[in-house]
Amino acid sequence: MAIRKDLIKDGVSTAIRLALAVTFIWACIHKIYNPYEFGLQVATYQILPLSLVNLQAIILPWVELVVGLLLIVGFLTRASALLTCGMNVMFIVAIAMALAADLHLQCGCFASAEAGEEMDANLLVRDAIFLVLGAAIVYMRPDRFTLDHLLARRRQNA
Amino acid sequence: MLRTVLVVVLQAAIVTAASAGVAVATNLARPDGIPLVTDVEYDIFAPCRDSEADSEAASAADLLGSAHEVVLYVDARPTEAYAQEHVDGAINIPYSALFGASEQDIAMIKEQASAKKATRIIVYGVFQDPASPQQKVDFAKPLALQLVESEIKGVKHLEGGMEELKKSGIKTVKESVGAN
Repeated sequence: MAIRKDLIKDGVSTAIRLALAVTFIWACIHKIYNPYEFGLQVATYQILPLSLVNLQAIILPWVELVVGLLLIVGFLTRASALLTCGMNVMFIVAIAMALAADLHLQCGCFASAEAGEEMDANLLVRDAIFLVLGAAIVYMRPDRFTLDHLLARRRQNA
Repeated sequence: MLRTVLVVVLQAAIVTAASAGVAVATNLARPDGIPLVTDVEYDIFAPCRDSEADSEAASAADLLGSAHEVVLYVDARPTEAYAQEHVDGAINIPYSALFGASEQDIAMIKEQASAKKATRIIVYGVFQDPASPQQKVDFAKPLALQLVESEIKGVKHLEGGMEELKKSGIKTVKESVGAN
């Protein structure tokens, strides 16, 4: 019974981990390919000083990519999930500030510049859900399908 | 428990630093990379309101007013810039690009205009950040637009900064004492 419970728990954890990974990798591709365009979107939020806009536009997509890849293989799983939480908090604050200022923007989250989608409060709900999912991964022990789990078992056997 | 938290936070910091390193190196290597720090402003377009209201640009004659006209000057720049130099008698309403002017600020402008019996309100405020001399932000037009939308009459904005004002011969003061 306990084994079955653990298996379900690990299955849920794996599903959440992979969902987060795919989302972040999907989100970063367009930004990495088009740094200037993403810089423009960061600048449009009018939150960061100009001197930090490009750094944000260059670094953030790569953090998303690395975190996504780490989540897929399950290496440094909790740290990666913690970073997804940090990024989601950042996105929520930025979107909330833009909505509060009644700025009509595209969120810049995915390749939405091409889709022409204007952001709304639904994005806050979506990012809040991702935040909760990330927090769940931070809270739970790495599941049995992660590299972290495999390495921990090897250390125990050694 | 605390140790686990610290380890996770430390690992997160290492992942961030490593990602940043890869990001910067890749950006430097690619032909379409962007400068790490830019001082050239992005040409952003973020419409704030679905409004047809517009503010008129002030002419040189508007700046000084006439014998029958009392002008209220509104300085839309940050307080520090206002303190350095501003039009004599101007009130300072630092405009936030994100949040606009507050209702209290709008009410204060209405009150001052009424008290001075001003028939014209000139909003000026092209701000040049000393840290980024190439970066100029025009706070005058959006504030003037907000005043027009608040149904304040006689509002015009100045295109150009303090230099434009000085050219018109208007008196400026270099301290904020008694002006706000």
